[in-house]
Amino acid sequence: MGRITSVDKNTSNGSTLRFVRGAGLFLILLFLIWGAGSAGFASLLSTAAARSGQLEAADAAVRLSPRDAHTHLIRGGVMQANGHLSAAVAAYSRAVSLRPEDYVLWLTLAHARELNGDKEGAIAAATQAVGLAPRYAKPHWQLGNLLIRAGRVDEGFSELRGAGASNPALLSAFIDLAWGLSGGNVQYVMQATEPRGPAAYSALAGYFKKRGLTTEAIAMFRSAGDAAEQERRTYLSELLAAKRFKDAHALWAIGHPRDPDAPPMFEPGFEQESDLDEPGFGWRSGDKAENLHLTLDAGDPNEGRLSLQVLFNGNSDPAQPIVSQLVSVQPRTHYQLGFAARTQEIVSGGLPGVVVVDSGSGGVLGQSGALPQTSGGWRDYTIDFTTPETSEAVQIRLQRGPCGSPCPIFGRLWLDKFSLRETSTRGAGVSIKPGVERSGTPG
Amino acid sequence: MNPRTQRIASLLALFLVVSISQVGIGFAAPETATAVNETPVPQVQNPAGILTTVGNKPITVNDAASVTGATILSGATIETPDGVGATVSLDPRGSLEIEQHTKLTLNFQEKHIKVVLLKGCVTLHTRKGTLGEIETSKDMVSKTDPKKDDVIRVCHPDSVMEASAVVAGPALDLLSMLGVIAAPAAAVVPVVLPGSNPSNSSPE
Repeated sequence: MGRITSVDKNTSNGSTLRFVRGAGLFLILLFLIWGAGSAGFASLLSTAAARSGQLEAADAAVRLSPRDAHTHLIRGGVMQANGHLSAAVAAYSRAVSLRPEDYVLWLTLAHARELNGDKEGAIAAATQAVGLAPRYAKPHWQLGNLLIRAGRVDEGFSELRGAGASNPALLSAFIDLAWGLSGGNVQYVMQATEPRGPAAYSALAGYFKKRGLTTEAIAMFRSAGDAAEQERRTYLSELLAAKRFKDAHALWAIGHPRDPDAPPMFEPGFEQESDLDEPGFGWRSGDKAENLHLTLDAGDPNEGRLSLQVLFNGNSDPAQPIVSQLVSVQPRTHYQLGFAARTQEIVSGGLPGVVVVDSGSGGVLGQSGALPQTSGGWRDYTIDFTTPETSEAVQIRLQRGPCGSPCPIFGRLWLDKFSLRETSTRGAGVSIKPGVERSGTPG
Repeated sequence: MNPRTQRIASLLALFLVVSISQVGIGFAAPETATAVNETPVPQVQNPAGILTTVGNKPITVNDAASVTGATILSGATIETPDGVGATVSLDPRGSLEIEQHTKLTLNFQEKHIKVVLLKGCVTLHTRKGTLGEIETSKDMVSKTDPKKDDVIRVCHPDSVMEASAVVAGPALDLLSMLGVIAAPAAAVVPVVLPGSNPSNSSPE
């Protein structure tokens, strides 16, 4: 019996233990369910509060999940939206105390503190955010602006430089602020921005361009280098369209550095390949007709290794230059353009010739006249012309003479050895002489 | 030369050396000063505006992208894109709420806020003592009453139709301005969970 009793006792003890264990597990699960449920419900309430702006929902979320920074953040947002800035600051402060490693919360607190008139408190909070996220732009941006509004301008710009370095999209706003604060002082803008990389130089170039400060913009594009090539090309097209050839030439020269003593024309002997579609002061093809082919020809150049061969094989627009180059010139100055040409069996109602046009007015300054149909070898030509009083650039064109439409052309033409030189001092003569054609020496 | 004369000569020489070096320093000093040639630090003239944008999304100020926290100076041209509103706090004078798809120029002085509205809608809050004006054309100017805290909402005549659709849900807009929710149109749980420590990935 005693043995049986003993077994019963053990069974009873085991059952109790199992019950206690089960109850404990149940309580733990209940606690976890309650925790997860209340957190989830608090999140729902917070969302509802954020969407409706109802303080009751935000308060309920905080009561359900008082140790969740997010519920306090939402409550602060609702308070701020309703104009209760002090209460909002208190709610944000609570959120920050619950999650002090979150820079976003510090920034939110900083912003609310400043709106509530507490500049120093705002700066302190934003400084915390910068410490937590030193490589992020936003904390530097907010702290920088705060410091500037607090009158600590130098410190502020130092922070904004950090923001710009992290996020170049903010550079323009930063530059604009320096510009506005200094009343449009370029030197101060440079001092405040302390540009060090292509992104900063590019942003400054864009800003100065927008402000119409062409010289400064060009200088910044020069410093930006290839990183701003696309923007530089766009600006170049704009300057050319505005007929600001001097500025355009200075900008174009950034991508085409040349010896100061180099001849005024670019690639006068066609010795290197070039992009005929690039705007600027290099050779450009005007007529894109399929029946017109431009190639660099190594066979029998006039000088150097190559010459330009133009193959005519059908219709093309006589009004369009076949190939042209814009050349920077001085006003009221006599020039002589020289070139060599060779033609072979050209047949057309509108034969090609070289024309010099003032880029500002579009007026013809000089021309070679029609080139022969077959030259029998290279011939040298010169065109004398005088630039008008306001001239900044001339366009040297290979262009067909006028003829009806359609006006096909067949045959081959080679050009080489272009040169442009001043033949008299500036201002010596003001009359525009028609171009003088001088028959070249057969090559 | 006797010792006495020698001492006098030495003292005289020393005096001359010191004098000449002083003259040298005197000449050198201005050169050093001009070499620095730093532009003086400008001061923020009157309390500047503070920009807050909806969801911290960028708007344009003087054609430059700007986000929450930016400093707005008098004379700024402000433009909001579709779906993004903004507020410029001009304490202690008041504040300007800018709705989406709005363009304006904002001028302010000590007791005067002037908005030239080019398109869209704005709400101007002014504190007592501040005159607020919203101009939509030369002969259409709405004004606040400087004798009290006042508020006016004005839409550009060309924007009236779209404005009516925007009015709904001001509380939501205000909350969005805090960056608390991602976007006004966000659906079930539009809450931005402020991340804890920033990662080292792309800085924002």
